[in-house]
Amino acid sequence: MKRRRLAVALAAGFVAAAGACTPDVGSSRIPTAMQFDLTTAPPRAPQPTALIVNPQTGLIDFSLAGTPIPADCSTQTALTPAQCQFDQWLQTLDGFPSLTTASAPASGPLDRTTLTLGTNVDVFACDPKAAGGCAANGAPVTSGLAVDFDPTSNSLTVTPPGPWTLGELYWMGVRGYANGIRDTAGAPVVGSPTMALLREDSPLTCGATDPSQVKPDCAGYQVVAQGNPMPTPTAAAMQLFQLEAIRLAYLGGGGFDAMTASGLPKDELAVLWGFPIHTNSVPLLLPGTAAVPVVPAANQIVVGVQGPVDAATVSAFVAKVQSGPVVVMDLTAAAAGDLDAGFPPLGAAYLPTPGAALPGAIAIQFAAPFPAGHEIGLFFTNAIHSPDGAPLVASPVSVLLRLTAPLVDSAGHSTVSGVGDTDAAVLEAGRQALAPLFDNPIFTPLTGVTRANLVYCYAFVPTVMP
Amino acid sequence: MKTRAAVLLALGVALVARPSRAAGFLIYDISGSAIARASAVTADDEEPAAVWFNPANLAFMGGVSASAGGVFITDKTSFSPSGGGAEINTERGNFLLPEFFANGRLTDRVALGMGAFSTFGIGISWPDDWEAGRQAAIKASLETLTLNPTVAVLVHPRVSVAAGFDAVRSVVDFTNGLPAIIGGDVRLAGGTWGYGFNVGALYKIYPGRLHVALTYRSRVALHFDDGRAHFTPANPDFAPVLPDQGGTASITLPDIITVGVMGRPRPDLALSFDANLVLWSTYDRIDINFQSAPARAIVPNGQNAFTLRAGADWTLPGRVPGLHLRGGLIYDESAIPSGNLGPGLPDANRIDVALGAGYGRGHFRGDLGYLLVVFLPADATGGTEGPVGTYNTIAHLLALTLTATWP
Repeated sequence: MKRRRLAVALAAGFVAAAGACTPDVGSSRIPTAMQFDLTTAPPRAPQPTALIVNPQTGLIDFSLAGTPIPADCSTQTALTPAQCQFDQWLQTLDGFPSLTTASAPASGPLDRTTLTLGTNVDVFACDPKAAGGCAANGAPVTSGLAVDFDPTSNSLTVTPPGPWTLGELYWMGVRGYANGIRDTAGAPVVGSPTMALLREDSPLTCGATDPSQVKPDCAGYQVVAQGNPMPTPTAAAMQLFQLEAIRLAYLGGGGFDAMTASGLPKDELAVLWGFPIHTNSVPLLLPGTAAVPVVPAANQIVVGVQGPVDAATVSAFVAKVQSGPVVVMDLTAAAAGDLDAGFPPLGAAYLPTPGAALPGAIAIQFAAPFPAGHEIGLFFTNAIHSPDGAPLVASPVSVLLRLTAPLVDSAGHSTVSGVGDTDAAVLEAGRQALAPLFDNPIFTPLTGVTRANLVYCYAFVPTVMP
Repeated sequence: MKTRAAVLLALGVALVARPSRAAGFLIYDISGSAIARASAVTADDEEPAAVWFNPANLAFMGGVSASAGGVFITDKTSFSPSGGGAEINTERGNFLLPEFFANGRLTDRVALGMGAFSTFGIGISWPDDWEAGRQAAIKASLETLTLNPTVAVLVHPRVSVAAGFDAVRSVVDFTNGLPAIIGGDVRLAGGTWGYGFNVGALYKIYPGRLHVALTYRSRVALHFDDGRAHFTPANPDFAPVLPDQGGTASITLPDIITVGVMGRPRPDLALSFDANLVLWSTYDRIDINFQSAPARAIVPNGQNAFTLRAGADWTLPGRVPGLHLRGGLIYDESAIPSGNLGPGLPDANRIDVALGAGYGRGHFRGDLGYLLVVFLPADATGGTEGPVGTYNTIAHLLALTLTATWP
């Protein structure tokens, strides 16, 4: 009996030992992060970004993000036709449109109350061409900007009350970690592996002069080489050099110094990005905001222009009388076949407005009051220049209206990133209404307006007469 | 009764940290009587741990016997960087490995045996702040417990054969440093069962005076398919991309082939010689795959290795009946080539010196053995599995086995 009891006890001991469970390795919560991943397609990174401004050409170049835009959008399928055409236009600019919302993606929802401008979200504006570096010639922007969280795109957004200043470089930083923004659970928000590398004080490439010379024990290489999906050693070395170029661009562009000047130290930066605004003057158009034409009189409409304009280049097109880059049509009359009424007599001039928020406007004066209930169309071409000879460029809305590709898909979703479904639907209606005009065989030869040279496009129906 | 169960449970729990004290991570020396004679006991039909060393011996053992014991191991490893710099030392490892064996004759020709023992293991812990080596290993632990039922048959008055089944429970627990910019570490643990078999034969050419033996233990594949990985990056920016997640890895325990001979030039002196061939080529590469984190490969590039054992057992029947005085020597060949040597398993060629004694009276006997394991300096030259430099290790094993036998 004793032997049996001993055997049973021994067996129990063996089973207890043999059944030993896997050790508890512990667990930790995944923190919300400000994302900055250039390896995904499309990259999950702050926008807009100077990283896709080609230092050689000075123009936006999507090939720098690994997504080159072909000359013929019909030859590609990676982008929607509308996105491709829109990106083609962006690549003609030396900076980003002034009516752009800046955004930085997050991995989860952020607590809006912690998105405080000037403390947790810092913006610094400077002239990138000025000597002495950004921090020395710029200044923090501590008021006016709207900082918010967009739950649709899971992004922190920074929206200016009006257009960003032409030619300015904007650096934006978000304070993370213990002293910074919080997610909706109240937890600190962290940065990204990319940001961790960009914050490094020493070269990521460990002294290698080209990717083939990167040593496996180089700390930066070890991080990049363990990416997911794991890159080949060659690809990892290439990525490392790309990151080092960005790090140098951040240093050279004064990004970290600008944030330090704003009171946001390097080690608290969860994300940092910068972007330039193009230098060309632009007739502003953003429906639903102040950036729309105003009608000060029954026969006058004024279009605000950001940036200087050479008044000598502003003139109206008058059918059978004079050509000019400012074309105004009574679309209702033209549609009825009355071309004389469709191109009513008018004049156009540039009106400087010193001291105003915008330096000037293009005023269009009809000989008679606008015909009530008629749809009036305004079209400007890039024959209008600034005093330095640079042509005006279009605003994004004008560009979207002139595209040949649809702005919404069959499911009603926007086909252009950054344009919401609702806005895309409204713009698509306008695009479809204007398309017959651009495709009309008479319109372009008569007016000189083409999709390519159009920098402003707007239609309105005067219903209330002063 | 509860107390007894608790003690047994505690003994089971004590089967945790496992050092590696024979080549590779094999712990061959697991009984008090065997250790004292360099575990050259394959051809000895009086070894209590015959289930492990050679189950064919069970057929020659009379009655029923059971033994319980443990091996206490203490060791320490140091690393000297080749480029100079301070020597790095592991924490001193102290381990207690309990072993249990039982056997009994079923018929005149058939005997059964059962063993529960631990014969493979790794247990090493380096300083967490060792910058050069932490990515290769901070802590490494591999535990095994083998349950080994076996049957032995006397096929001839001088020849026995045996076969057994091995069920191996294994738990791994590794902590490795993450790259310098990330900092912190990753801990990966998992448990699994693996299965194998073993066979043995004993031929008593001249019974009691000259025996030869041959044994084979199969390889055992351990697939850790339910591992868990816990990443704790010091730089919080990497926490979102390194979440806790599942992981898998496979390790194959090697085959072991042993030949042994035992001779008695005098009635009071037994001399024995064993040679093990351990097929460490099964331990060539470990791929650790995570659910989302990048995979990691450990490449020990294990090589088949020999171990040579010589032991002596001297009795004093005229003066102290029941007393055994023992001694032995071992030469143990490293299983890991210098180019693949790393801190997780700083293997080396070894020379071991064994001493011990046993005393039996009536149904009971006790055996005490000591083994000094001197690792020869091992140069790590590869730089891929760990830093380049030299490892030095010293280990001491002290084993006590108590055996009860009933006719």
